[in-house]
Amino acid sequence: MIEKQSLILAEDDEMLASLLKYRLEKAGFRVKWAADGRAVKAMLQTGLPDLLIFDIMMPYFSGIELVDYVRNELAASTPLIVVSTAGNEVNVLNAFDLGADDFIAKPVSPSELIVRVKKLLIKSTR
Amino acid sequence: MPSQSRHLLDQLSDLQRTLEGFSFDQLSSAQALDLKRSFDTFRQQLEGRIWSPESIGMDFSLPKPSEPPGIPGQESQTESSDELIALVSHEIRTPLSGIVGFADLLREGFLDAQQQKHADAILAASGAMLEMVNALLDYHKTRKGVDPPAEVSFAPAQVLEEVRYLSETLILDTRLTFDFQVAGPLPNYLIGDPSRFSQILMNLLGNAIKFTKEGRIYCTVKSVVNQNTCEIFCEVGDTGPGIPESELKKIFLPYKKARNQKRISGEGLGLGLSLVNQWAKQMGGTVSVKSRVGQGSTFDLRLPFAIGAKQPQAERKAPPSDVSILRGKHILIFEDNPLNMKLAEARLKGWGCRVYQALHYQRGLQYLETETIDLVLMDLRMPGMDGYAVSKTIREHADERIRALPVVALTADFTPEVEARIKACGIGDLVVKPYTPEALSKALIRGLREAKNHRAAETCPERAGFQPVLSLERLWEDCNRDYDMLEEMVRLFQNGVLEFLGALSIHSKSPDYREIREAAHKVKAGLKLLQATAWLERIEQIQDLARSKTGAAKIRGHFESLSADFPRLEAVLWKQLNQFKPGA
Repeated sequence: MIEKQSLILAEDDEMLASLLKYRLEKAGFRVKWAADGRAVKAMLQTGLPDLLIFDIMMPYFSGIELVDYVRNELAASTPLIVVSTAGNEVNVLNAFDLGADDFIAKPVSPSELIVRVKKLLIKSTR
Repeated sequence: MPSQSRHLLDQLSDLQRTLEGFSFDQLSSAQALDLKRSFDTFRQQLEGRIWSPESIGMDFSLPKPSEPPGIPGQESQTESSDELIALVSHEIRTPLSGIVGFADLLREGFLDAQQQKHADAILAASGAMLEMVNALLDYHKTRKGVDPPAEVSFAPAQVLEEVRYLSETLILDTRLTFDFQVAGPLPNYLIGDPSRFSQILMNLLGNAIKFTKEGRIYCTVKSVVNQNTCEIFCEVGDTGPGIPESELKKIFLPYKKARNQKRISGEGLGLGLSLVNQWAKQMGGTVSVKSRVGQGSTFDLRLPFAIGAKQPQAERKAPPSDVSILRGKHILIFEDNPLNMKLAEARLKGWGCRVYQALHYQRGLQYLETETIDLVLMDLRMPGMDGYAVSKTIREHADERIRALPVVALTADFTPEVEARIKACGIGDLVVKPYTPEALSKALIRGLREAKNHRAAETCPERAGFQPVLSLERLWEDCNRDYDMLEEMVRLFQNGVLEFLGALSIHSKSPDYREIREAAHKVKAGLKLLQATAWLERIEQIQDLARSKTGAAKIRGHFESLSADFPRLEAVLWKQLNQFKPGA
């Protein structure tokens, strides 16, 4: 049996997080949920998952800071999707500058997120 | 001071033990996680405050746990610990409410008998703690003199008559006799604080009634008139267990219930006599005690007043104008404390109401089904299922008539959190204990009138404010048409909105715009998922106001109308959810 691919989902809104986690798990991923930036850093210290999903507005460390942390401090190339509210284009551009691979706008459609996750994973394993 | 902190910590360990005994396998992981998280936060905050006060940048000199408590002359020593008490109490109330709330949610889930017992225990322990915290805050308020005594003209005879009446209704035991005597004439009018005066007497008499099994309780009132002033002397005596000499000098200090007086469950921390002492002092009077173990106790109260000539304020004296509309109304009372129940019953019967008594919530829910009730009077703190939960049950009842019943809450503490929760549960009005007959009758009349108007509005819905529009369709698809998941989402959404309203209530008072912005941001995701556009627009307006750091009053206004609209949002939410129920 092939081991499931693992994701870290960083999203401070519990409702949205539960929904996304549920759908991603149904789609066959192992999902670890972090409710704030600090929890994400703690998780990353125990190892890197196959893909990262960061909400931009989060307590302690924003998604932007986390992108910077992953790319520049951990120097990891783990595929990374940022989630942001519409109208926050500046932040999204910053995230891309820092090395985010994809961006998805809120309200997030779980189906769309799954498609993007799969696409990124295929790309990165090539 | 640390004795009460340690008391809290003891409670906390109890709570933790119960929590650890909990088997989480069958609970939804989100609920379990929430409960654990609120508990951890709570514990950290509490311990942080108690054991390392310097970490919050304040200079508290904490006496060591073994040191004796301060005596009245040493005000300065107790003052800083009072500040600490207030701070601790205030800080822990919010996470504590979280524990109570989530424990409540747990109990609504599918639990086995053992888990149900554990959840009940968590709820009971955290409820008891909340009560303590509130008592501490009351005590602090009085000490700080936040509530200075009033200076109004009043008729002492009328106040005393009320006290006599209330005391009589409190005496349930026929082995007790009660004598109430006013010796000699009293001035017609005095100037001072009539409600404090009666609160002091009620505390003394209440204690006497509580602790005396049989025999006699008496209250004698005398007055000594000098030129423009009048001193009132009241002697309150009982044939109760008495207070040992060693305890006597500490009896007016907080937390010093005499040891041989058994604590009555849920009766709090023994702040009553210390409050009496504070109040009497604030009014320029004194209170003292004599007692013999096995024979009884006597409290002597002396209060100076100025003699008034004017008419007492109409507000106090005027009989409630239209209590006649209460005649024949069927009122259901949820109240677990038999004394309070008796009191409310006496009042309502006096107005010609038909009273249904529910000392336990289950009895009350039965009455709702079998009797035609016009209005529900709801104590918010009850064991088993509290007033909020019962009110929600009423609002979600399958029977439309029951769903629309006016509910008036009774509570001893009125805080922004209580306010938000009350509104969120669809409780229309609130009476703060201890209440005057006028306050009660007014709330009842208002409740009955509004119910009438509401029924009229129901028939043409477009008249009734802005409609909560939301749709579960998209979320249903997003949930892969899995009903359990949808239900879980709806629950989370509801919690999220409640949390938001709570935060908004607190942070819009002395406005903290950053907190408001964060709360608004947090609730938006859920509102979007449910396409609740009307609410979303409001939230965005609030965000704009908060961003520009102005318009606290406007934010407050939004809060009011959102809170008022919440029960409707909730009703639509659950109605829609039902449509997705398998087999619906």
